[in-house]
Amino acid sequence: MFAVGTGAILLLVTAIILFVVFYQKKMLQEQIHRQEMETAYQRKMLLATLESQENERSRISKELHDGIGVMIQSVLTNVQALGDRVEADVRHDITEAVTHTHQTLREISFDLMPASLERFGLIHALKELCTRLGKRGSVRLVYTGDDSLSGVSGEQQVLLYRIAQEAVNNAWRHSQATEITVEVRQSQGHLTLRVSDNGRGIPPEVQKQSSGLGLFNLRTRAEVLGATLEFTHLQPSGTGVHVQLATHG
Amino acid sequence: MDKVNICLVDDHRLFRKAMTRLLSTFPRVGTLTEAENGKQCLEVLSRTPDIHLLLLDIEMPVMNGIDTAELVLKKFPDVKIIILTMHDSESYMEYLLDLGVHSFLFKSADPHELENAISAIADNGFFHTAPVQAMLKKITSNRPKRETLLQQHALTEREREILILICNDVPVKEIAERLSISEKTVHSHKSAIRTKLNLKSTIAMVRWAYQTGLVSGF
Repeated sequence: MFAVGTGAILLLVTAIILFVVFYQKKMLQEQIHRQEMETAYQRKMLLATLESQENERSRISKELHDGIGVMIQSVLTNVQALGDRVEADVRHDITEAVTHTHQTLREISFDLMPASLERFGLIHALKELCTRLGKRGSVRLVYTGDDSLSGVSGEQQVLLYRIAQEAVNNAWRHSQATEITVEVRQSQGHLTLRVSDNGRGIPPEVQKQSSGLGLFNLRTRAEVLGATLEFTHLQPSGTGVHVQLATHG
Repeated sequence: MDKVNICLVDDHRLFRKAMTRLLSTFPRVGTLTEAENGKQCLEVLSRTPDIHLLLLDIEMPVMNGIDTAELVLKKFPDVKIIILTMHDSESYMEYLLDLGVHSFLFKSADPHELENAISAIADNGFFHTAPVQAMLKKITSNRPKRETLLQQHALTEREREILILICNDVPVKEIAERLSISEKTVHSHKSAIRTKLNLKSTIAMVRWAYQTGLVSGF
């Protein structure tokens, strides 16, 4: 009698333990599932935010370049057509001021969104970035790597361009580098983007910070892309920013 | 030709007005016609047969400069095309160059450059404008490839000589004088070079000369 009672209790306890374990496991699974959903949702939201940001940038860039740019150009051409009717030095000063304004406007427009990115894609835009930044200062910028891409969507190309732009700007502004290299290579379903400089490097504590030096932007965009992002110290000096992405090309 | 008749194709009225004002100060420029997009430009060309040269913008509504250039090159092969643009983008230039346009100028070009380019392109089909110069410089910095070097041998001594002179902005008339041949012979050499190298325009020939290292000059 006693043994039967003990057996029943034991059975009951085992059942309760099993139930609790099972319940906890299910809860945990649900929690993981919820977290996954949340992460996916956040990624979607982030992507939508970035996309609308890019659309806005593109709109303003075009408006500046094609709208205001043409009007400034018309002023300049009119001044040039004045010829000898205006004193040469006055004409020269007006021309210089208007030309400078125009140049600044074009730089802002390009930084916002290069026309070549939308029309000709990532590689062309990166080459142009190197040429243009090369003209703005004394740093040598070189593009090496593939001349074309396959299986990379327009959205992905814009995200990759922004990562490269941010990395190049960081190196250009903060690293005191004399040379910056941008490289894109695609092979066996992988795309690799590498930006290397010969500057003084990014201190590790800055790398870990979530803001500062635009590193946050780099991380966010790599995350949205589903790409890996790595910073490496180069020998004898410099920093390498390395992005890898799985592609269908 | 004595005077160069020009059609200015641009969608911005204020710019057209300013540019027409500037162009009319150049002694070499003859009649000036305006069109506000590619479609209008084609209409102008079909009813005005004596237009020699187009100053063509890229970004335009209705029909853009790229599509316009393509159609004009096909339908009116004698009309010279200078792309007059605000886009200082190499990608655009390379694309249009492959299409067969004759030259490029920035809207911000110095008036003297504009004037010289109009005359030279109308007469000789080529001129070193600033954007063309920049592109050629870039080509020269990428060293010649072996196969293109070998291609140089496709040309005769005389053809190479003429191509080098063209690259140096020597007018056709002067080339003829220097080599004691007729202008017509210079032109037939030019078209022989173009056919042999399978190129569409004089500027493409010049680009080839820089690519293969036939001309360096920087």
